Amino acid sequence: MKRCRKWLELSVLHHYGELSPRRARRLERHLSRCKDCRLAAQRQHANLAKLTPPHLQEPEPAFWDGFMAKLDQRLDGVAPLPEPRMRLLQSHRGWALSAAALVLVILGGIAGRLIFPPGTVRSATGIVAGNGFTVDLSSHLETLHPLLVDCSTATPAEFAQSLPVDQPRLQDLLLRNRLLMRRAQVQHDTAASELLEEIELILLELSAPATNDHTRIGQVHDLVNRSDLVGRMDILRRRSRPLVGQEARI
Amino acid sequence: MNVAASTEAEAVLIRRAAEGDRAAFSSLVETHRRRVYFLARDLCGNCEDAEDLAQEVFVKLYRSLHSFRGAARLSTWLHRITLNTYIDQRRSRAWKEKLQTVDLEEHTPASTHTNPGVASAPETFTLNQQVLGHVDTALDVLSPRERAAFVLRHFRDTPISEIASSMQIRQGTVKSLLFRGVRKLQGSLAHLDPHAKREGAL
Repeated sequence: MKRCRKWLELSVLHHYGELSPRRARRLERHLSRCKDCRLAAQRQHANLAKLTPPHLQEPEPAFWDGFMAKLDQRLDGVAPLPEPRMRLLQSHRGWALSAAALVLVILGGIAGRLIFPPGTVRSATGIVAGNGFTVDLSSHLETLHPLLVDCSTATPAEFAQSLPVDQPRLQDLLLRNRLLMRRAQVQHDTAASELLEEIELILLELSAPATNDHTRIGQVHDLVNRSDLVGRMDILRRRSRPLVGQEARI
Repeated sequence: MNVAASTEAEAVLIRRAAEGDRAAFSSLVETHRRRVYFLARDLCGNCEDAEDLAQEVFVKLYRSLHSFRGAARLSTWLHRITLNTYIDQRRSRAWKEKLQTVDLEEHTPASTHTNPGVASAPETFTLNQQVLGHVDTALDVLSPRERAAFVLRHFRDTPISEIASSMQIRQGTVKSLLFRGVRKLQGSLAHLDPHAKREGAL
C-alpha cells in the first residue's frame, strides 16, 4: 500500500486539474487496476467535494465605515517608515537580518534558560518521557542547528560559494525530518510538528536543483529568518536537554 | 476607465500615499479592502479575526508603501502581505499558546487530543451536516501554510504556480503542502466516517 500513496498524491493533483495529460492517463490506468486506490481516490474526491467554500456574505456598508474609522485610528499612531531608512535597510538587508537572527538566538537562549533552568525535568513536547521521541528530536535538532544557523547568517554570496551540506546528506536529513514529523503528529505534539514542517520547507528549498540561484538562496534566508526558526529551535533544544539526561539515567 | 488608465491612476495614488497623503491612502484601501477582507475571511475562518488581519495588512501597507517599486501590481503585493501576515500571526499565536499550555498537555490523557469540533460532535449528526456545517473547524487541523495552500487552491481555484509565487516557495513545496493538508483533512474526516479510516491512514 506504501507504493500506492504516490498515486493518491497524484490523485489530489488530478482532482484540481493540475496533472499533465500523460500523468493523468497513467493515474487513470493505475486506478482501473488497483481497487484499493480507486476506492480511496473516490472517497478522497467525495470528501473534498463536501468541503465547499464557506458562503461569504457581503458586509453591510456600516461595516466598512467602522473598518475605515478603526484603520484611521490605528494609522494615527503609525508613522510610515521614512524612505531613506528603508533604503538603508534594503542595502544592508543581509547584515540587518543576520544581526536580528543573532539577537533572536541569544534572546531565545535566555528565555529558554529562564523558563526551564538546567535540572528541571520537563517535557518540551508534551509527550511522556521514555518513548524515545524527545531523544530523537533533540538529536535531530542538534544535527540541524549548524546548517540552519549558516542559512540564517551567511550572505547569499557566501552561501552560493559552497552549500554547507551535500545532496545525499540533505536527502537523509529530509527523510529523518519527515519521519519525526509523522511521529510528532502521532504524539499530537503541534509545536514540534510545526517546527519540523518549517524545517522541511527549508530542506526542500535547499535540495532544489537551482539552489545556487541567488533568488532561491535569498528565499531560504528569508524563510529561516522570517519564522525565527533558529530561536524556536533553540528553545526546543534547551528544553529537551534535561529530559535527555533523565532518559539516559532511566 | 480602462485598465491602463486605472493602473496609472493607482500609481498616482500610491505615490501620493507614500508621501503621507492619507486621503490617497484611503482611496487605495477602499479599492482593495473587499478583496483583502474576503481572502482573510477564507484564511481565518471567522469574521472577527478576518477584520483584524485585514486591518493589520493595511497598516503594513501604509508603513511599507515607500518600498513598493511597482514591479508587481498592488493587488498582488497585498495578496502576498495578507498570506505572510496570516502565517506569521497564526504561528506566533500557536507558539505562545503552546508554551503556555505545555504543562496542561503533559497531564492530559492522549484520548482528548482529538480534532476540535470533531470528537465532540453529537453522533446524531450526519457526516454531511458535520462537514458542511464545520468547514472552518475541519480546516483547523491544518498548519498555517497548509491552510493557506489549501484555501487558495480549493476555495479560490488559484493555480499552484500562482500560489507558489504568492507564498514565495517552489511549486513542489506547494504540492507537498496540499498533499499533507488533504491527508490531514482525510484523517480528520475519518473520525466522522468509519469507512474512511483506512484512507486517512494512507
